[in-house]
Amino acid sequence: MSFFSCDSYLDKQPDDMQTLEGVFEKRSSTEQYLANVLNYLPHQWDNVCAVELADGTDFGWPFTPASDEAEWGAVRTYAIMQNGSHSAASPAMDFWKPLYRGIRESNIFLQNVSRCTELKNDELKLWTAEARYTNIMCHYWLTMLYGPIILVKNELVDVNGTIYRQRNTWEECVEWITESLKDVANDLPKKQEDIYAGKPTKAAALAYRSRLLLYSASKLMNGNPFFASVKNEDGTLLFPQNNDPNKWKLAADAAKEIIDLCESGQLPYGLLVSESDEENKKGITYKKVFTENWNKELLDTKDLGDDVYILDLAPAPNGERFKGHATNCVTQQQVDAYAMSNGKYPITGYTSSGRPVIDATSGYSEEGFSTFTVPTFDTSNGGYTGEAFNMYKDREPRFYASVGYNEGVWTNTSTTEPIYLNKYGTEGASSSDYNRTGYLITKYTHPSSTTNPYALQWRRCWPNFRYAEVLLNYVEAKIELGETAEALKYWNQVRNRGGMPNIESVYPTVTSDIELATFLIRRERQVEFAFENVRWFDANRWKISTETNHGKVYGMNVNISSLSAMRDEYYVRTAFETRIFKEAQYLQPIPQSSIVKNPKLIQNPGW
Amino acid sequence: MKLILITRNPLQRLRKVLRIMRLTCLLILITTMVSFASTGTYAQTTELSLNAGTKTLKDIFSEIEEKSEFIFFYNDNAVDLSARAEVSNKSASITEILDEVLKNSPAKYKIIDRQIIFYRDKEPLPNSQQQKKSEIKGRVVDGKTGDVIIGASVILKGTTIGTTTDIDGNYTLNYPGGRHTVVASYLGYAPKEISVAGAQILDFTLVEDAIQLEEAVVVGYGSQRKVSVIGAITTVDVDNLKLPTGKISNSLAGRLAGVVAVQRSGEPGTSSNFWVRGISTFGENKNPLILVDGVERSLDLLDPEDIESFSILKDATATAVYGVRGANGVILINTRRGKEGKPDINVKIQSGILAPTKLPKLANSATWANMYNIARTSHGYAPAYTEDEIEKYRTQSDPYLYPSVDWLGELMKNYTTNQRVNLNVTGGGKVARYYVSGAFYNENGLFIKDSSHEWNSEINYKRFNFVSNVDVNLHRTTVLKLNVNGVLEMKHQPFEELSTIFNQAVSVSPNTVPLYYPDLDEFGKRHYAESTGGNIPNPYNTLTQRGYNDNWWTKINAIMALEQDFSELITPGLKAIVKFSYDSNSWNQILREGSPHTWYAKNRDENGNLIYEENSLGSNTLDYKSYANGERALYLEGNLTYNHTFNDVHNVGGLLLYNQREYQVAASTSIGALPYRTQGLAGRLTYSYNDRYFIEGNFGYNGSENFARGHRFGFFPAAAVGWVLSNEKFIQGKVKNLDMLKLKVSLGQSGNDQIGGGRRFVYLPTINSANGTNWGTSNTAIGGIAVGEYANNNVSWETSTKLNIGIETQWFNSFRLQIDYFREKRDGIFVQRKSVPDYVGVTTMPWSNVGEMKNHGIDATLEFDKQIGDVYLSTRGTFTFARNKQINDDQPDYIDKYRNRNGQRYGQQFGLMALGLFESQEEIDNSPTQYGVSYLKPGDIKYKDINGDGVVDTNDEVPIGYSDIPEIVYGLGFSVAYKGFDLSLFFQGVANTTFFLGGAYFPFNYPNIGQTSFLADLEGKYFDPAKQNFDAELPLLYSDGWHGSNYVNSTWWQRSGAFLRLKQAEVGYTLPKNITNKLLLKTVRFFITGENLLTFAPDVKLWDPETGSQDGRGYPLMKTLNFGLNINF
Repeated sequence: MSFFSCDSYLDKQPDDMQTLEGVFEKRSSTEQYLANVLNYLPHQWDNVCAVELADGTDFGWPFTPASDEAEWGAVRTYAIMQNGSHSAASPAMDFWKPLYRGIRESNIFLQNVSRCTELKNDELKLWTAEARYTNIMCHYWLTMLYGPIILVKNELVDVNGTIYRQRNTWEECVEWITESLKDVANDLPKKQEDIYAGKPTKAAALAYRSRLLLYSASKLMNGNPFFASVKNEDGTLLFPQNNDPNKWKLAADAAKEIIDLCESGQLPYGLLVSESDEENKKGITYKKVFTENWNKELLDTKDLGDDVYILDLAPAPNGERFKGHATNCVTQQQVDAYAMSNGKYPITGYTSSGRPVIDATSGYSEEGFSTFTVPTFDTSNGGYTGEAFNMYKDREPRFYASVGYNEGVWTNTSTTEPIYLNKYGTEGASSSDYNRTGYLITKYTHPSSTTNPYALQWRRCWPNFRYAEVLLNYVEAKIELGETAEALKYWNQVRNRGGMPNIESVYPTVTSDIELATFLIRRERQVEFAFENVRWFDANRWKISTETNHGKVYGMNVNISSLSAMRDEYYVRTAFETRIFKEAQYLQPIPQSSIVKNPKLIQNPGW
Repeated sequence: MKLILITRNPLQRLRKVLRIMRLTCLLILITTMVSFASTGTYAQTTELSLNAGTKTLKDIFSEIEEKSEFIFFYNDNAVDLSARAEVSNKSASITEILDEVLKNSPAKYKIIDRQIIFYRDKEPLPNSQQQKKSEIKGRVVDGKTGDVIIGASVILKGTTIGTTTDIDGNYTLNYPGGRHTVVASYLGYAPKEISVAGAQILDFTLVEDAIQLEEAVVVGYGSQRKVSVIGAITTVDVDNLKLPTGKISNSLAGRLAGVVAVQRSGEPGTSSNFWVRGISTFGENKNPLILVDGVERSLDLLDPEDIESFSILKDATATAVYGVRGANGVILINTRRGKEGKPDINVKIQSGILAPTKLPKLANSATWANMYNIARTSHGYAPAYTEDEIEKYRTQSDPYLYPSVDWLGELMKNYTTNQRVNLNVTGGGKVARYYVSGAFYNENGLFIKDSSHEWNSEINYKRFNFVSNVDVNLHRTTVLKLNVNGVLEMKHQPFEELSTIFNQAVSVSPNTVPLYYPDLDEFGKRHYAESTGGNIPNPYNTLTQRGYNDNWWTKINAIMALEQDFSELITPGLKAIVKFSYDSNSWNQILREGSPHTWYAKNRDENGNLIYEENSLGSNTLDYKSYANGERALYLEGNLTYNHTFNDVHNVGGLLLYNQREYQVAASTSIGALPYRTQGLAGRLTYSYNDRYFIEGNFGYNGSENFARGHRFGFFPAAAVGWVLSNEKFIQGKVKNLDMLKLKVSLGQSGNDQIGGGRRFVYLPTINSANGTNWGTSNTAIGGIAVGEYANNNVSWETSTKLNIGIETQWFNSFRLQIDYFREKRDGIFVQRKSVPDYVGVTTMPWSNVGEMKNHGIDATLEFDKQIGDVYLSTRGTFTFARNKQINDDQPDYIDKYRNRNGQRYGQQFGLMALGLFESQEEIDNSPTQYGVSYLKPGDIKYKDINGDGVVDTNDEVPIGYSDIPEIVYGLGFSVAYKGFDLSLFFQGVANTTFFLGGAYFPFNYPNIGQTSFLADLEGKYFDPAKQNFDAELPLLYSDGWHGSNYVNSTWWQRSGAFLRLKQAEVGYTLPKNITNKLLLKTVRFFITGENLLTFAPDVKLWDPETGSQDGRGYPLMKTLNFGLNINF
């Protein structure tokens, strides 16, 4: 029976089948493995409409249209996040699976990368740090979306067994993620070389750390009674039970650390401010933050490549002149949030029937039409003069930089005619593809881009994380700590760059009135970071989404009876839909399909 | 008086004795026939030399038998075998020897050729002239063939008076007077009794006894005596598999207990899906292992005429020797081999016609347009066709602008033809024996062609089979066997797949376009029709204008085996075989693709001429493409067998075998093209005591290259015990009319290494390309790679544990029953994991051996044969019931547990519970919503909200009905023979299967209305708001797009797939012997065979139920009528 002592007859014949060992022998294939790992970092720019989750990685980022600032006219898979039909059985977006896949892939890379002898020491260190960063950031996003999660960390869980795990507590998650981000920041470069621009940096790691600490200090996670009873099978309570004011201190310190590093020149980032006051005052500098590639304000950014067309074409008006999709719409609530050019907020709230409460001292009017000039952000800074509704007159520069309104002008300077945002479009032909609110997002439209015919001329970097957010994180934490005065300097840096006067010059009691300061910093964030996926998380951590993202959502009356009746019928606040935001929705439901596979996994409350 | 053969073991049981006797007689028969006219007798020419010494007569006779061809018979007490005699050491003739040894004995003897018959001196010679006045004389012949039976025993019942027939089949019996019963018997035939009351001429016609206890049964890697088989093995008379059309697999259903088979399509050359004892795994491979002459091959490659034996191995003890490949059962087929004798030539010629069993009838344009209007108006849309237009459709006043085309009728002929010719010859001498055969089969298709083309797109299938099986005795103990088998299959067909053409013919609406327009273009070519935009195909163009497709398959299979008998060299009963085979198959395809110049006419000009729009230019020439592929297999086997009986009662047998196989395909991927290899050992040990108690142990130890070292080889043991009660003294002769009763139990394991999932070498991971990222200021893309499949070192085969309990019995020499009960548990089914928690982060779920399934059931065969006068009757029924249960496919529980697939049968259908039709808007408003559909109307189906959440949706689907694979398959065959006439009928049926209606039952349901036909039989069966017929068979029609509420699987649409069909009917006439002999032929038989002539299906009236079609729009099965002639000479 000698042939049985050796079963070589059954050995596979050699061929060039690739093995895991082989992958990590070569630098080029190791880099390819890293490319796949880094791809698991969420594509935060992918916010035109949700992209299919076919392979579980290229998932869409729905948080702009899902919050009260915007509405998408096209494919609306995120719509179930706001129409009450959201459920664990069919979640709007399954982030759970792809982010955990990112964790596994990064761990496979981390376990094997050291075997690649073709890598130089500093490259090995850098790639290891990048994979670690991805690993931590997948945990980060899971935590931001689902609350307490299962911390896998750097473990490669056996795929051939069935091992059930329970969730870690919120405190454990935040502590591990923030500590790890701080740790990995030491191994990440201050700035990536040009050929690697867009890969993780030290500043990005510290910035997300700042955001998570602010999130953890906020009302939602800091002693929220709604989460009080959530516990694992073994009785572990998953959420903190008591409000801990010290968490604001941690958040403030984390933000200040970045500010200090940037101000001292240890990190090559800072607020993008023009030397010309004129440019700052007109909002031209603010516009440049979103149109100038790799500018110094972008702590975490990514070249959109060909995806940039979504920034130009998707929000552009439909019809022959632009051939856009008119899909990225701004809500009336967001329009109302912008201040007047004098710095006063015209609308301070809404009555129970949804009528705006207008600050009469602001100079705001919702009656009649005037002829006025607005900036067009082109190189000549010429501006556009035309007759428009008074609601849009004398608003702050960031409004004109971000929102396109009816009878206004498109950012694209090749078109100096007014745009019409209604059922009949610019040409007057009835179309099914018209915007839903009467407003379009112009924030990302390059002043020199053309949409008809579309030509990819202007590459764009997406602002995943801006330095301005670090500043405003610091300001908010300081306000919560009752130390508003110490933060005014940074607050005004942001305001002045956006063409706004110092906050205390408009609202002098801001340093003493914490309630007013809170109102103002929240407005500041809503305006400054409009359509940047910040509002969703802010409204949630402040626990205001049940009001701001619940009930009727307004725009103008785009369903006018005829083109000629536009001025008579159009300028009426009109609810285009009624949204539902229940308290459970502050956290995403863990997909039921993931719960059934892991009986130890407790669902979030209310789902 | 009985006849006993003197052997070394004179106490051995009658049956065993008779077996040898029969073989001997056969030998006598053959040699007499061969040497009939030649010389004097064997006795005169043969010289024997015996060992000298004083011995018992028994030993002397045994020695003579061994050293010569003589056989001894003796009448009771005619000779005292224990008497001793002196044998001298010299060569002598048989008479000299016998005279010498019998000189002190009163026994006398007579030599008839090689038979030596003893009698008492006092008794008269059996056919002595002295008793002429009171004797019974006659002849014993075979009832079926009319051949005389030599050596049959004829006795007076209850006496010792008896005799045997001579070489002419004649006997003469001493008759003492009085009333007696004369019994004639012969091994393998049922004994026959006739009462006499005086001397007379008495002829006996004996009928073959279908249970031949001593018959050899093919088992895994060998054969066993039938009585000793204690595994579950079904064999079938190969004649039953000789359907005139199609492939062998199409004739298995109902013929063999334990086989579940369905034929889904009647396309020329298609075969059936079949499973042994149903489906026991939801893994990749559910099919049995098929071995032809011991080598893994395709079943449908063979011509039925070339098959010698067909066995199905079902339980563990029968399949364990196949180890890791045996879990799904094994089918063993042996081809015919040469027999010593004059050439036996057999010619069979058949020719027949084929037609679809049942085709759906499609509505004409008028009906179609009417129904479409109803569908539209029911939902508030304007009618699409005016009365005027419908009238034009009805009258066909302008068939080019208002066509009404019965596509199916236009494209298909009513019937087609086939021809089959077989010629085989068997024969040989002492040194070499041969079986050679040639077969030709030709079948035409049902589709028409466009005769204006030079090329032909008509379907034609041809097959040529050649077989040459030769056995050569290299030495007295050494045989060389060589099998060469070649098959050439050729299929010519239209360019498009037949299923595509058929599907278009039954789906395209009748008013789309005419077949073609009447006018010719400037080149004299037809205006081929196609609707504007070309998004609705014209089935005529698809069939006739797209070119053609030529395929051929060449298969060459060869086996060479060397058998060495070591009985003399080492020990009696030891044998060794070495076998090597290669198979080489290749496939070639030539595609000639064309496209027609098409037109569309919307109107006529003032002169009444059609105004054409040019649609597509087409091409003038046929595009050329060719493909080829091939595969090969090499097989090597070596085995040792042992079989010996000790002390007359202890029968011991053994087998030890090694084999290896390499199979390689010219696949399109490098991994797929690597050879597939298996290797293994098998063994068997059998012991039986006195043919009463049997015990058997089997094992397979084999492996597969798919698994990691250390996990490759599996050991699969099985054991069985059997008890033949009828051989026990306390039963033998005590239970009247019981011929045989056997109980058997087996338990053991086998495996399944065909893990599938597109995976090979599971112990190696795969690396896939994956998403990459773009980096840098110039946005450079870096492609990504990632682990695809994870390596799993522990992956292994499926293990099947089988229990079989069986009973076999025979009564009245005519009634036989065999019932087996089986249970099976399948573990380690290779499935893609579904329950790995998501936090683990696996992108491609790993495959693992975690699946479990159970199966149990019964299979039974009942046979009955009886001869009444000249009428010979026989019946055979089979019944198979197999119910499986999926225990675990790694799918986590559904929230609503009733939706779990685990715990249900494999393929269990799920659907909603229909409560009837909504009868009012109020009822709709007060009922749960349905899939969020807002436009429900009275006449829509109302469903039950099972989970009570106020919404009817997929969460309310419960298990309903069965699966599409029947749980019950049965067959019942009758045959009657009277003189030269014979008639046989075979019915086959299935039960416990369901399917869902769909497709054509949801008409007007496509965005493109031209792609929906209407079944003529459904006219008026839908709910019509104008009639308010809430008892309608079918719900409200919808006119556009998918309607998500009516057209979901539910009890409303579920139907039983049960049917019973007359699968085969045959009438034959065999010419009488006297005519045949004059023609110098042995047999001449004319016959007519019909297949699928009648079908009864309670729930499926409009099409053939066996196709499993949801609406009859699949290629139909064929019914055939064949006329044939069979000549044997």
